[in-house]
Amino acid sequence: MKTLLENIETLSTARGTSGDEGAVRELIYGDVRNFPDCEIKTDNAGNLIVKKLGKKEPKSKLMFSAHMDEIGFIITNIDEGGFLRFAAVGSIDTRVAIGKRVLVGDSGIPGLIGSKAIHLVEKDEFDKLADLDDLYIDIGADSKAEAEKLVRLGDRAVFDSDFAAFGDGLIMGRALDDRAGCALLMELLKGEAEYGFTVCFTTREEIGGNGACAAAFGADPDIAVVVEATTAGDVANVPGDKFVCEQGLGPVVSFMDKGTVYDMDLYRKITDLAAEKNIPVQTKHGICGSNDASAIHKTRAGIRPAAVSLPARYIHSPAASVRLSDLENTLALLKILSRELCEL
Amino acid sequence: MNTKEVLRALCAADGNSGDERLAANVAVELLSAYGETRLDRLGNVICTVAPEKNGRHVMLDAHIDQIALIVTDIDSRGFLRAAPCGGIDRRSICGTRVRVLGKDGEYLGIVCSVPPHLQGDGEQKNPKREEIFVDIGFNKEEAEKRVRLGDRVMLCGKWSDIGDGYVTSPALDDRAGCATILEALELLKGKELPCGLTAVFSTREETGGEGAAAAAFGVAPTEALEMDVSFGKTPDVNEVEAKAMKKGPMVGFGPSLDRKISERLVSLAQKHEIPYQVEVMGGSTGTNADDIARAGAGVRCGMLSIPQQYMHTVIEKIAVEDVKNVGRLIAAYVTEGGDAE
Repeated sequence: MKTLLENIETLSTARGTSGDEGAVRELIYGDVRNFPDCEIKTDNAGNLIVKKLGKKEPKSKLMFSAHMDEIGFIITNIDEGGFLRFAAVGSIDTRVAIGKRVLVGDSGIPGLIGSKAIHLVEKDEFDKLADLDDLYIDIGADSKAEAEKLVRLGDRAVFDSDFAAFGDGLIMGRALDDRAGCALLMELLKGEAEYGFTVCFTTREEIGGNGACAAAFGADPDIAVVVEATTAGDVANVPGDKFVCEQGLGPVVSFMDKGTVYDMDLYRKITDLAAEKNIPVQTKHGICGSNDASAIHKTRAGIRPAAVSLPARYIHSPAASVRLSDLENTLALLKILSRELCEL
Repeated sequence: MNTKEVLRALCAADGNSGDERLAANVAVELLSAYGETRLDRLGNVICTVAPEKNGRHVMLDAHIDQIALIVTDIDSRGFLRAAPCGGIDRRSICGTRVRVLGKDGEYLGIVCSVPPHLQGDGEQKNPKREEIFVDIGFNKEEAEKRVRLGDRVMLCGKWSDIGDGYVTSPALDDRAGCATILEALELLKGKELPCGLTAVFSTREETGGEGAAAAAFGVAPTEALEMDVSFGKTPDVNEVEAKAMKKGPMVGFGPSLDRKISERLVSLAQKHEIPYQVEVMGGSTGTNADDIARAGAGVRCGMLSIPQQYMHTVIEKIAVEDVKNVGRLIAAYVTEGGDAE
């Protein structure tokens, strides 16, 4: 049984872009299968569904979800020179893609996201964002035939980025969105539970929540709490009124984002519980982002949605950062929710 | 050490323009095997292999500095404002992992990127030079205890093999050039040379070439060969702008170079069956060759370039065989050089 941080580190090094989450699922399964009172299955959408058996029957059936998939690249063509052309899986900012290392395919072949040398760039091109279609991955192949021996169309690539601790209680790593969420939910499954609930480790969030849709249908809960990593805009050169949320102020409880108008009673209940237990929480100052709640709340005859997110900087880039105090406070809140929301 | 091991050792040490100390230490160790090695006042590493002979003294130069960022301010929330120290590629800087070489150690950080949703569609831009910030995860007070203005911020990359015979590292510009000189010195070791020979690993090329200018004045050679990286072919540039990888040294021709030396390099490549490509530059070379050529009362310069892809990013890439072939051609020039056929 691994600790929260060990799980985050291990999961952040696994490669699993949307629709190809097998490696992540195996890692989660490998640990969770040792936990008490858990019934585990994988559904047809690739979601890993863990039913935690409790001592009591809940009044409201509760589901938690976190997504296993991450953003990345999919190889669409190999050109005559052996360079790989690709499309984005999920949304990728080209500013963070140029000049980065990637790992290609199941065996993780090192690749480089190339672009012409800075010296050959025309002045008016400097400020403009490159078009992802103009970039390519160089795996050091000298010809199309050589590249084809190593890579197939449809193979995936992810940023090559190591997990690390830094600064005053922070971690950085690839795919913390949302492997950190997965690791938090693994913590919830560890001990004995008062009420039974279901944890869904979902697929395909980054391309629109197709996995969560199936998972929620299967789990058939009354309430769903989506555990995510959301953009903290509190970085340099951004005015305070555009932070949306900030690192170090605790989990982000949402009332609305671009995909979901959340259940207001649930939102108030969660923030009240946090206040009662002295857990710092914040909400989004702005209508930004979207997550699996968007797909989940319209499943079946409707599911009451809530979202609890880690404020993370630099998501969808080679390395996102998360503050340890936010992780701890999010976990504390989730533990309370796993009990209290079942009584609603 | 073989060529690749030498390259790796050179790339492993940090050395931003004006702060090349660590890389220079590695260079001194490697060059000392070939002659008395010293640092001059600008930090250039100078190895005297053989004194002037027969009225000829050849200086081999490659620059030891690499591009990085330099801390210019710590803002109210602890973000480090960092200016390019050398030609940083603004298109690739966001989201780059960095190491700040601080007061008592290194601090890991990330180059900030403004989240895409905070910039409207069509308004997303690459950061301006003065908009580059580094997040090291400390507040202002804690950051100031660890980082001083002027500290260097190195861009993290990995050394690795890639494909068949290529390597990638952030420091290949121009440690690859340094490696070609070491390759040549190894080939020349123990041989009676017909001329004087001095190897220089010069400082501050990326910020203006001051190191090489001073070194050339001090060494006062009769002729010089400059070894730097130049543009390797990628799908988005044409054959005029860039040359092929693994097709050997790019022999420079241009107004700031000495035509006889350029032609001699071509004929030696042909004689020794060393693959080569001709790179013609319309104006200055944009390398130390320009500074060396006008040092003292003038130095006749030749230029050999190693084709490199993705220059000034953390994924700079070269073919090891190109380094070896540049080394062979340098050695041929030293032993059979001069203008006489």
